[in-house]
Amino acid sequence: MAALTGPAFPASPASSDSPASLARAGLLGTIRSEFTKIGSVRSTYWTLALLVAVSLAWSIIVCDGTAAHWAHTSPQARSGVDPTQLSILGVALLGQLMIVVVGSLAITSEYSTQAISASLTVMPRRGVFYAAKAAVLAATAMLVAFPASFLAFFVGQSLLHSTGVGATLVKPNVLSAVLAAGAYVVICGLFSFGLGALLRSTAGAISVAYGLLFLMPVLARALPMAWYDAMVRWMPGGQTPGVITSTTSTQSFNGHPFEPWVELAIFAGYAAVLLIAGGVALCRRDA
Amino acid sequence: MIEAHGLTKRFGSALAVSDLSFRVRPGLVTGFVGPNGAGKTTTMRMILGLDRPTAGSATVNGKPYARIGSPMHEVGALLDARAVNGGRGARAHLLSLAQTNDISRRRVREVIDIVGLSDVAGKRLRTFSLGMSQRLGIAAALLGDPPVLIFDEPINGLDPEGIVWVRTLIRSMAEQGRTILVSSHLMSEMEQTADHLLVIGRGRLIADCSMAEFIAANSRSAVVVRTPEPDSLARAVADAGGTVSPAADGLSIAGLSQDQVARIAFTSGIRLDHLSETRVSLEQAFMELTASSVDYHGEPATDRLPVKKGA
Repeated sequence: MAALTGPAFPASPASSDSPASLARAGLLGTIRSEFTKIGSVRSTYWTLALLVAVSLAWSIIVCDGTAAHWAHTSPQARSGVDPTQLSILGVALLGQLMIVVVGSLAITSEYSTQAISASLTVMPRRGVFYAAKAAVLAATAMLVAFPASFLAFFVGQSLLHSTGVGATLVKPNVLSAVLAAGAYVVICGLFSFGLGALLRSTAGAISVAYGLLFLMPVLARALPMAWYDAMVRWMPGGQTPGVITSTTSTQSFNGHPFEPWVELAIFAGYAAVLLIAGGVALCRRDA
Repeated sequence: MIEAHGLTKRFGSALAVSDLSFRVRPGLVTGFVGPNGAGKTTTMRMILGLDRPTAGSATVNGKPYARIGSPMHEVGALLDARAVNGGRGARAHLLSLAQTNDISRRRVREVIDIVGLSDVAGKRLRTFSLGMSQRLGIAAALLGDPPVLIFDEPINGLDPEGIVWVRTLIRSMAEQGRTILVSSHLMSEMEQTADHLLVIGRGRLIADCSMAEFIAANSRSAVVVRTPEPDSLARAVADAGGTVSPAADGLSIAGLSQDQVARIAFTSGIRLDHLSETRVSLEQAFMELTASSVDYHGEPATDRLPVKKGA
């Protein structure tokens, strides 16, 4: 191995007062750093590739199946078909499985590897560190979720072409549904990121996120019907992916759901609460 | 310059660090020694703002760590070399640290060359040996070319060549006027590297003195003799003021020189089959010192050492 070489340590003895010319380490540099981090581990690519793959697979299987059985479908059933939702429901419904992993890992891997010590040594302003991490996660999720949603939509509609009911982006509520499916995935990522910062455990954050998004809405069915109906619209996850991707009436859902954008906003509210709680915990606790 | 004022950390009911006050000065290598669990790492983590002190404070160049504008240009730290994401490559790891402080890719390449990891810069960190990880950790600490360096057990896991390399590196950085705090649980290691010592046991400061003072205060020697008449010799030696204890196959005499023991034996008419002088190793002295801090619960054996109290 190399011996200590000369030019590495400039002869100037580093003085003990702070170098005035140096910029303060800040948000932009930390954002660049977090992009380097998220982009330099293979699990990010695998999980996000899987997200696109399952979104597309859902769209192909469901839309192709619908088209294949179209001739034998009753007029009544045909009228209930929401072509937009058929193609993009998988983005939200299956995509959340993947993004929860990416979102949790973005912060919990710092703890499982204890790299958090080095991260907070080079950027001791923890709020900046946390904000940069969340921003990079959100940007990465957007970069994948929105294209996945549009891809699933277009592929699905082309498969539904033969049925004559295919949707286009200019039809009422269609564009907003396609965007909502992508946004739901992004919010899911931040939801689990906040949980990760609170729990500091990968397994803990992923299981609690799945529990809140999938298990709780199912368990809630055990409640008396009136309670369930009153609660279900307020729950994160559950039927939210169905409601926000619907371009027609939401009558078929339980408990009179809110308008799609309100459902999405409520879910974003939960994510915001977790994000803030996680940030406060990170700033207060020993690293 | 690193300063600690009454630094204290309590984890639940356990007092990990108790009222530590010290100064780490520029231009010197300050060895931070104590047995495992003495509170060295916790103290370093408090200096770096990672753990919040229960009481007291620490400053680096006069400022609390969190208030340093560009930390990597002021302080380089190596805590746990293994605490890295194993899925990341060495270069990406260093780059991610460098970017937070606007340090260039060129400097990243430079430090990789300095620590001799150029051939494995693209390899994922989980394939690194402990020695390679230590070199990577040192590379990270050097990124900002900082005037203050904090190394927690940098020798761990290094091969002999690596140990010499780290020692040379640390010495040369001190000679450039940098402030260096290096922890170790081995006094023998510090003997080779440190100019100044902070000895802690059970979270308390036991000694704050120069290496030379520590050696002078602890270089006790003993005379070892073998004789067919141990009882007579023991009596004669005791009369002359020596302290006798049984040794492997003879007697160990403290408090008298080799010449004095020879003279006593001659005048008493006792035959000596063997006469030699042994030095108590610094490691031994260190162990006795830190052990007593445990026995007396913070009433340190201060008689032989200059101890700094609440400075």
